[in-house]
Amino acid sequence: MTHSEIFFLSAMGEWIRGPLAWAAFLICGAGIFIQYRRLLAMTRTQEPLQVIPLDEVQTRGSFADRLTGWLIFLRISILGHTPFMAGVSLIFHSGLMITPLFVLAHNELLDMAFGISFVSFSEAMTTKMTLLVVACGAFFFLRRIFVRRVRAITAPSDFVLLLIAVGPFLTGWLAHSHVLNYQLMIMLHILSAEIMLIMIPFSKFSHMIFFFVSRRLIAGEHGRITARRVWRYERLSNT
Amino acid sequence: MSEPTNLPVDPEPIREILKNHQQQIRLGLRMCAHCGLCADSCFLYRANDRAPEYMPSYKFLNSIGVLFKKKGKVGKPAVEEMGALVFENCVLCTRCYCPFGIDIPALITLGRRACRSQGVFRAYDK
Amino acid sequence: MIKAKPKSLAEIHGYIAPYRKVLILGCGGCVSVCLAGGQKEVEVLKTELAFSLTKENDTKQIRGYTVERQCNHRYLEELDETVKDLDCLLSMACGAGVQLLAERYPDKPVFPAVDTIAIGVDLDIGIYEERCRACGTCVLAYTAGVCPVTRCAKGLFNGPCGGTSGDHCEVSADIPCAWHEIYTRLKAQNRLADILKIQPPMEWANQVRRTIVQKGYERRYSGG
Repeated sequence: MTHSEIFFLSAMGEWIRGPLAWAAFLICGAGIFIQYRRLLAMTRTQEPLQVIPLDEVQTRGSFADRLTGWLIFLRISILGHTPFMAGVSLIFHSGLMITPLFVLAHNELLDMAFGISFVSFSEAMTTKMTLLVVACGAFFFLRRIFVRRVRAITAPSDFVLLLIAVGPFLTGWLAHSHVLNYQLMIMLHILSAEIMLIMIPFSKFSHMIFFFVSRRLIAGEHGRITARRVWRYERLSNT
Repeated sequence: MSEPTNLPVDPEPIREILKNHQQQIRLGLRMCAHCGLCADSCFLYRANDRAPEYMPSYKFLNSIGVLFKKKGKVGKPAVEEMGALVFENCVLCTRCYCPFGIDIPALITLGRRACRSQGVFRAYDK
Repeated sequence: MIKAKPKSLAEIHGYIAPYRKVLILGCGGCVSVCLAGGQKEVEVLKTELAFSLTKENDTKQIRGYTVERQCNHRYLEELDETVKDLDCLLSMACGAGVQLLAERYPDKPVFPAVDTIAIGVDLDIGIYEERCRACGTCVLAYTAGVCPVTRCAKGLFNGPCGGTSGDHCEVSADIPCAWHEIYTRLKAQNRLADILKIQPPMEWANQVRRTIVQKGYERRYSGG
C-alpha cells in the first residue's frame, strides 16, 4: 500500500474506533429509550374488570396437571408448529445478544478503556458461538428465498438487514481467524457493528423492544394474562 | 364482492383513515419482520392449501400497508384487489398470532374501512 | 355475537368414548372470537385428548379442522368426502352449527364441544357479557338501549319494581337496577316521555323455534 493509503486507512480507523463507536452506542441507547417511550405513549393502562371473587379463583392444579398444561402450550406454540424455525430463531437471538459480551477481545478492550470487563469464554467457545450465529443467519437467508409464504412478503430491505445483523459476526470471525486481510476485516467488523447498533432503533430491529412491550405489558390473547395496558386506539369500554 | 363501480377512487376518506391511524399503521409496518410465523395461526391459510395470500401479514401488508405507503393514491382495481384480501381472505375471527404482538385484526379492520369508503365490500347475498 | 363456553374434558371424553375416528371441527365465526371453538381451541382439545387417551392406552384417531362457519351448508360442503371415513364428529360451533352438521350427516353422531351461552358483547379479552336474549320483540327504542329482558332480574317492561334501591336491584347490591339506568339515560336525552308509553306484555316469542325471512325475500319463500 502507498503511504497515503495507509494514512487514509489509519485515519478512518481512528474515526471508526473512536467517535463513531461512541456515536453508535449513544444513538442506539438513546434511540431504544425513545422508541420505548413512544411505544408506551401509544398505550394506556386499563385495569381488568374484577368480576370473580378471589376465593373462587381455582387454586393451581396438581404438578401433573400443570406440566400437561405447559406441554400442551408448547405443542400448540410456534415451537410445536414450526420447531425448526422457532429453534433456530431462539439460538440466533441468544447468540446475537450473548456472544459479544463474552468474547475475550471485547473484554480486553473494555478493560483497557474503562478497567472493567465481563467474564470471557474461551476463544474456541466464542468462535463456535459466532459461527452458530452465522449459520442461523444463513438459514434465515435460505428460508427467505425458498419458503413460499416468506418469499411472498419479503422486501429487499429484509436481505440488507440480515446482512447487517450477521455482518459483525462474520467479519469478527474472519478477522480473528486471519483468513482474509486482518486490518480490513477488523475495520469492517467495527463498522458493521456500528451500523447495526445505529439501525436498531430505526428499522425492524426495533422488534427487540416491541416484543417485550407488547407481549408483557399489553393485554391480548397471546400476551400475559394479567397485563394491564391496552392500545390507546382501542376502546372496549367507557373507561 | 360488491358490483364493480366505474367511479374513480375518492382519496379523501382513505387519507382520513390513514391520518387518524398513522401511528398504529406505521408501527405495524415497521415491526413486521416478514417472518411468516403468523401463517399457521390462520385457519383459512391452513384450509386453503397454505396459500400465502391467506397469511395474516400478507393480508394487512397488501391492503392497508399498500394504502399507507402510496398515501392512498391507488386505482380502483387495486382497491378491489385489496377488498378481495380483506373481505374474502379474512373473516376477522381475530385469532391471528404475531410473535411481536402486532394487532393484525385492527389493521385488517382499517383496510376494510378504506375499501368500504370506496364502495367495495363483501356481498353476503351472492 | 354468540358467546360460548367449552365443555369439560370429562364430558367430551364420555361422548367420544365408543368411537375411534373422531374429527374435531372448529368454527371461524362467533366461537373463534370468544376463544371457545376456533382453530387454536381445536388444537388444544386435540392435544388434551391425545394426552389423556395415551394414558388410557386408547387407540383413537383424532383429527382437527376448522371451517369458516358451521351455520351455512356452503362452508360444510368441503367436509363431505372426509366425513365418510369418520365414526363421529365433535363440533366446537354453537348449537346452530352443531345442528346443521347433524342434519347434513344424519348417519354420523355429532357431539357439541361447547355450551352456547348467549348473544353478547366483548368487555375485554376473555370476558364476555350477555346483552340479548333474542326475545323477538325489541323494546330498546324506548329504554335508551338498556334491555329490560337481560338486565332486569324480573324482566319488567314498564318501570322498576318496588324493590329498587337507589341505583341497584333488590337482589344484590352488585346488580345495577336496569330501570334506574333507563331513567337516567332517557332523562339525559330528554326522552322521558318514552317511559310513559305502556309496553304490551312480552310475547316471549323465543320459546318457540322461529324462522326469519328478510324483507324482499318473502316471495322467494312463499307458496307451496
